[in-house]
Amino acid sequence: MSFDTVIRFIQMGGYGAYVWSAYGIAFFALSFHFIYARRQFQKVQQAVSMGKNPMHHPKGARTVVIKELP
Amino acid sequence: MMPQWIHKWTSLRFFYAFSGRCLPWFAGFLVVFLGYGLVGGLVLSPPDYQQGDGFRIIYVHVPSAFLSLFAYMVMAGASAVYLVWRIKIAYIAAYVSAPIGATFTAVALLTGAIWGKPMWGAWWVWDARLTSELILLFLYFAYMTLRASVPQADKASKISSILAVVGAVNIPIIHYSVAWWNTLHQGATLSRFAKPALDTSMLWPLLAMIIAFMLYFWIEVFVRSRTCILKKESQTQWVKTMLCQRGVL
Repeated sequence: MSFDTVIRFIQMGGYGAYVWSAYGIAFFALSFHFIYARRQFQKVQQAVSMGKNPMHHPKGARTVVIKELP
Repeated sequence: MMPQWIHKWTSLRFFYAFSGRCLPWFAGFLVVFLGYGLVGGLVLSPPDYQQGDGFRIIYVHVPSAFLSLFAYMVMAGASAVYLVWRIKIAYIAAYVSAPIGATFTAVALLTGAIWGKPMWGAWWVWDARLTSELILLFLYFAYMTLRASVPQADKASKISSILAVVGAVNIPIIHYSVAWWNTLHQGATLSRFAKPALDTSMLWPLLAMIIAFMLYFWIEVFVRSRTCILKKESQTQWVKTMLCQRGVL
């Protein structure tokens, strides 16, 4: 073990701010990505299960253009 | 004329089922490798004799950088397959790899800047490695923007695939930049042809983190691909039958 106490672990030999901000950026970016992808999948699965075509939006609804894949 | 098994293995239905079976295994292995990598890298490995504990940023920076290149190679390779054989799953793989690769590239650049500040005294330098990695990020953005801006789907997929293939020239430039130019960025940590520059106590957690990030990449590709496949095949009988069997319908 490289650290005797939790405080020293957090301080990281004086580099704590740099180390933990780097890990924080990586963790949040990758977590956000995965959560977003998973929610998109669940939305599409729900739309398909309700018999809706997820490629189309009803007229007048607030729409986001979903590009059709070739 | 392609063999029958290629038609079967590259069908959207087969890929959907295959990726669904792989996902739990990948997730399990991800937890194991990530756990070992983080504990080994943050707690067990000793501090570097020059950089102290600041070197521990390597355990997120190097895997992110590695995956930024790997994701682009997947994107370019899949785009080439799509251009030649018009296999739909290849285009989907390229299409979903782009945002993941862009994220890895951004994380690599940001964590590199955070590491560079205490070690080099600067957040950014126009070094060959950093500049070519920044160009890689622009290539990802260009691919996604091009794909979204051309209204005809077929034309958009063709043009963006060509861009992905042409942009692959940047990958060896990034990789060999530290050898070809006099750069501030350190040389390769891991090489097939030389003894690793790291002690084993530092090396094994690094390899574990690279594997963990690789598993994360494939989990993301599978989840996003399954979303695209469901969207595209929503009106087909196999999707309706599958959802019925799962009790969703």
